[in-house]
Amino acid sequence: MNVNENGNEISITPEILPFHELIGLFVCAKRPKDPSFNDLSGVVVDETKNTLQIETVSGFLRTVPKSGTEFTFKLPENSETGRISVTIQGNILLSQPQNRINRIKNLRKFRN
Amino acid sequence: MYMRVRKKNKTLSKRVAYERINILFRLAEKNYKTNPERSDRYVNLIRQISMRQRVKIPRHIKRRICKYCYSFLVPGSNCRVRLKGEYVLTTCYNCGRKVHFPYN
Repeated sequence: MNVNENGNEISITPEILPFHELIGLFVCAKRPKDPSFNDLSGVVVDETKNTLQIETVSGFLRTVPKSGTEFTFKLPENSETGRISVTIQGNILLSQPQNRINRIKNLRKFRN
Repeated sequence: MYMRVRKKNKTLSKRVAYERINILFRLAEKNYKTNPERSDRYVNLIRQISMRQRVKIPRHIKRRICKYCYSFLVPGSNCRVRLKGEYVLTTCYNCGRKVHFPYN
Protein backbone atom coordinates (compact mmCIF):
# COMPACT_ATOMS: atom_id res chain seq x y z
CA MET A 1 0.00 0.00 0.00
CA ASN A 2 2.64 2.52 1.03
CA VAL A 3 4.88 2.26 -2.00
CA ASN A 4 6.36 5.08 -4.06
CA GLU A 5 6.28 5.30 -7.84
CA ASN A 6 9.88 4.08 -7.87
CA GLY A 7 8.98 1.06 -5.78
CA ASN A 8 10.68 2.43 -2.66
CA GLU A 9 8.80 2.18 0.56
CA ILE A 10 7.90 5.47 2.15
CA SER A 11 10.03 5.91 5.22
CA ILE A 12 8.20 7.76 7.93
CA THR A 13 10.40 6.98 10.90
CA PRO A 14 9.67 8.33 14.39
CA GLU A 15 12.79 10.50 14.05
CA ILE A 16 11.63 12.21 10.84
CA LEU A 17 7.90 12.38 11.65
CA PRO A 18 7.88 16.06 12.81
CA PHE A 19 9.16 17.05 9.35
CA HIS A 20 7.05 14.60 7.34
CA GLU A 21 3.49 14.67 6.07
CA LEU A 22 0.88 14.59 8.85
CA ILE A 23 -2.16 14.67 6.56
CA GLY A 24 -3.65 11.20 6.23
CA LEU A 25 -2.25 9.83 9.51
CA PHE A 26 -4.45 8.56 12.32
CA VAL A 27 -4.05 10.68 15.43
CA CYS A 28 -5.20 10.91 19.04
CA ALA A 29 -5.13 14.40 20.56
CA LYS A 30 -4.87 14.98 24.28
CA ARG A 31 -5.36 18.39 25.74
CA PRO A 32 -5.47 18.28 29.52
CA LYS A 33 -6.38 21.94 29.91
CA ASP A 34 -9.79 21.83 28.27
CA PRO A 35 -12.00 18.75 28.66
CA SER A 36 -13.93 19.17 25.39
CA PHE A 37 -10.91 17.91 23.43
CA ASN A 38 -10.30 14.85 25.57
CA ASP A 39 -9.50 11.66 23.65
CA LEU A 40 -10.18 13.18 20.26
CA SER A 41 -9.14 10.69 17.62
CA GLY A 42 -9.42 10.56 13.84
CA VAL A 43 -7.62 11.22 10.56
CA VAL A 44 -5.75 14.47 9.94
CA VAL A 45 -7.41 16.29 7.04
CA ASP A 46 -5.78 19.70 6.87
CA GLU A 47 -2.95 21.61 8.47
CA THR A 48 -2.24 25.29 9.06
CA LYS A 49 0.49 27.11 10.95
CA ASN A 50 -1.19 26.83 14.35
CA THR A 51 -3.86 24.14 13.97
CA LEU A 52 -4.60 20.64 12.75
CA GLN A 53 -8.01 19.78 11.33
CA ILE A 54 -9.16 16.30 12.32
CA GLU A 55 -12.03 14.27 10.88
CA THR A 56 -13.27 12.17 13.81
CA VAL A 57 -14.45 8.58 13.58
CA SER A 58 -18.08 9.74 13.79
CA GLY A 59 -17.57 12.07 10.81
CA PHE A 60 -17.23 15.50 12.47
CA LEU A 61 -14.53 18.03 11.65
CA ARG A 62 -12.65 19.44 14.64
CA THR A 63 -9.89 22.04 14.59
CA VAL A 64 -7.26 21.47 17.27
CA PRO A 65 -4.59 24.02 18.17
CA LYS A 66 -1.07 22.63 18.00
CA SER A 67 0.34 24.44 21.00
CA GLY A 68 -0.25 22.75 24.31
CA THR A 69 -1.59 19.54 22.78
CA GLU A 70 -0.11 16.06 22.92
CA PHE A 71 -0.53 14.17 19.64
CA THR A 72 -0.17 10.40 19.27
CA PHE A 73 0.32 9.51 15.61
CA LYS A 74 -0.06 6.03 14.17
CA LEU A 75 2.57 5.56 11.48
CA PRO A 76 1.64 3.66 8.28
CA GLU A 77 2.43 -0.03 8.28
CA ASN A 78 6.01 -0.94 7.51
CA SER A 79 7.21 -4.40 6.55
CA GLU A 80 10.13 -4.32 9.00
CA THR A 81 8.73 -2.65 12.07
CA GLY A 82 4.95 -3.08 11.79
CA ARG A 83 2.70 -0.42 13.22
CA ILE A 84 4.24 2.10 15.61
CA SER A 85 2.52 4.92 17.43
CA VAL A 86 4.58 8.00 18.26
CA THR A 87 3.77 10.67 20.83
CA ILE A 88 4.77 14.25 20.00
CA GLN A 89 4.30 17.55 21.79
CA GLY A 90 2.42 19.88 19.47
CA ASN A 91 4.79 22.78 20.10
CA ILE A 92 7.40 21.06 17.87
CA LEU A 93 4.98 21.20 14.93
CA LEU A 94 4.30 24.96 15.14
CA SER A 95 5.10 25.94 11.56
CA GLN A 96 3.51 26.09 8.14
CA PRO A 97 3.40 22.65 6.48
CA GLN A 98 5.77 23.63 3.68
CA ASN A 99 8.26 25.26 6.06
CA ARG A 100 8.33 22.36 8.48
CA ILE A 101 10.84 20.41 6.32
CA ASN A 102 13.46 23.12 6.78
CA ARG A 103 13.87 22.20 10.44
CA ILE A 104 15.38 18.87 9.40
CA LYS A 105 18.72 20.68 9.70
CA ASN A 106 18.22 20.64 13.46
CA LEU A 107 18.49 16.84 13.41
CA ARG A 108 22.26 17.33 13.20
CA LYS A 109 22.35 18.36 16.85
CA PHE A 110 20.86 15.09 17.99
CA ARG A 111 23.00 12.87 15.76
CA ASN A 112 26.45 14.24 16.53
CA MET B 1 33.09 16.85 8.51
CA TYR B 2 30.69 19.70 9.14
CA MET B 3 30.16 20.27 5.44
CA ARG B 4 29.52 16.60 4.75
CA VAL B 5 26.83 16.33 7.43
CA ARG B 6 25.15 19.47 6.17
CA LYS B 7 25.07 18.20 2.58
CA LYS B 8 23.64 14.88 3.74
CA ASN B 9 20.83 16.64 5.58
CA LYS B 10 20.05 18.75 2.53
CA THR B 11 19.51 15.68 0.37
CA LEU B 12 17.46 14.17 3.19
CA SER B 13 15.13 17.17 3.23
CA LYS B 14 14.67 16.89 -0.55
CA ARG B 15 13.89 13.20 -0.26
CA VAL B 16 11.29 13.91 2.42
CA ALA B 17 9.77 16.61 0.20
CA TYR B 18 9.53 14.13 -2.70
CA GLU B 19 7.83 11.58 -0.46
CA ARG B 20 5.40 14.17 0.84
CA ILE B 21 4.46 15.14 -2.71
CA ASN B 22 3.69 11.50 -3.52
CA ILE B 23 1.63 11.04 -0.33
CA LEU B 24 -0.39 14.20 -0.98
CA PHE B 25 -1.08 13.17 -4.58
CA ARG B 26 -2.39 9.79 -3.46
CA LEU B 27 -4.62 11.50 -0.87
CA ALA B 28 -5.95 13.92 -3.49
CA GLU B 29 -6.88 10.99 -5.73
CA LYS B 30 -8.55 9.21 -2.84
CA ASN B 31 -10.58 12.21 -1.62
CA TYR B 32 -11.76 13.52 -4.99
CA LYS B 33 -15.10 11.68 -5.03
CA THR B 34 -16.17 12.70 -1.54
CA ASN B 35 -14.51 16.11 -1.03
CA PRO B 36 -13.21 17.67 -4.27
CA GLU B 37 -12.24 20.93 -2.55
CA ARG B 38 -9.97 18.95 -0.25
CA SER B 39 -8.03 17.52 -3.20
CA ASP B 40 -7.54 21.05 -4.55
CA ARG B 41 -6.06 22.01 -1.20
CA TYR B 42 -3.63 19.07 -1.40
CA VAL B 43 -2.57 20.19 -4.89
CA ASN B 44 -1.88 23.62 -3.44
CA LEU B 45 0.31 22.01 -0.75
CA ILE B 46 2.18 19.97 -3.39
CA ARG B 47 3.05 23.16 -5.26
CA GLN B 48 4.14 25.00 -2.15
CA ILE B 49 6.37 22.14 -0.96
CA SER B 50 7.99 21.77 -4.38
CA MET B 51 8.65 25.52 -4.64
CA ARG B 52 10.00 25.86 -1.11
CA GLN B 53 12.32 22.84 -1.31
CA ARG B 54 13.14 23.24 -5.03
CA VAL B 55 12.02 19.72 -5.91
CA LYS B 56 10.55 18.94 -9.33
CA ILE B 57 6.97 17.73 -9.42
CA PRO B 58 7.05 14.30 -11.14
CA ARG B 59 5.62 14.26 -14.64
CA HIS B 60 2.67 11.96 -13.97
CA ILE B 61 1.57 14.28 -11.13
CA LYS B 62 2.16 17.48 -13.09
CA ARG B 63 -0.24 16.34 -15.81
CA ARG B 64 -3.06 15.87 -13.32
CA ILE B 65 -2.86 19.52 -12.19
CA CYS B 66 -4.32 22.42 -14.18
CA LYS B 67 -1.51 24.78 -15.17
CA TYR B 68 -3.68 27.88 -14.84
CA CYS B 69 -6.20 27.41 -12.02
CA TYR B 70 -4.28 24.70 -10.06
CA SER B 71 -7.24 22.38 -9.69
CA PHE B 72 -6.89 18.61 -9.48
CA LEU B 73 -7.81 17.08 -12.85
CA VAL B 74 -9.72 13.81 -13.16
CA PRO B 75 -10.35 12.72 -16.78
CA GLY B 76 -14.03 12.10 -17.35
CA SER B 77 -15.35 14.32 -14.60
CA ASN B 78 -13.21 17.41 -14.37
CA CYS B 79 -11.33 17.61 -17.66
CA ARG B 80 -11.30 16.32 -21.23
CA VAL B 81 -8.30 14.45 -22.69
CA ARG B 82 -8.00 14.14 -26.47
CA LEU B 83 -5.28 13.14 -28.92
CA LYS B 84 -4.88 15.91 -31.46
CA GLY B 85 -2.21 15.41 -34.10
CA GLU B 86 1.11 15.16 -32.29
CA TYR B 87 -0.26 16.44 -28.98
CA VAL B 88 -2.28 15.33 -26.01
CA LEU B 89 -4.84 18.07 -25.46
CA THR B 90 -6.27 18.52 -21.96
CA THR B 91 -9.14 20.92 -21.35
CA CYS B 92 -9.93 21.99 -17.78
CA TYR B 93 -13.67 22.39 -17.12
CA ASN B 94 -13.14 24.78 -14.21
CA CYS B 95 -11.35 27.53 -16.13
CA GLY B 96 -11.87 26.33 -19.71
CA ARG B 97 -8.22 26.60 -20.69
CA LYS B 98 -6.29 24.05 -22.73
CA VAL B 99 -2.83 22.53 -22.31
CA HIS B 100 -0.83 20.63 -24.96
CA PHE B 101 1.67 17.89 -24.18
CA PRO B 102 3.75 16.39 -26.99
CA TYR B 103 4.05 12.62 -27.41
CA ASN B 104 5.67 10.36 -29.93
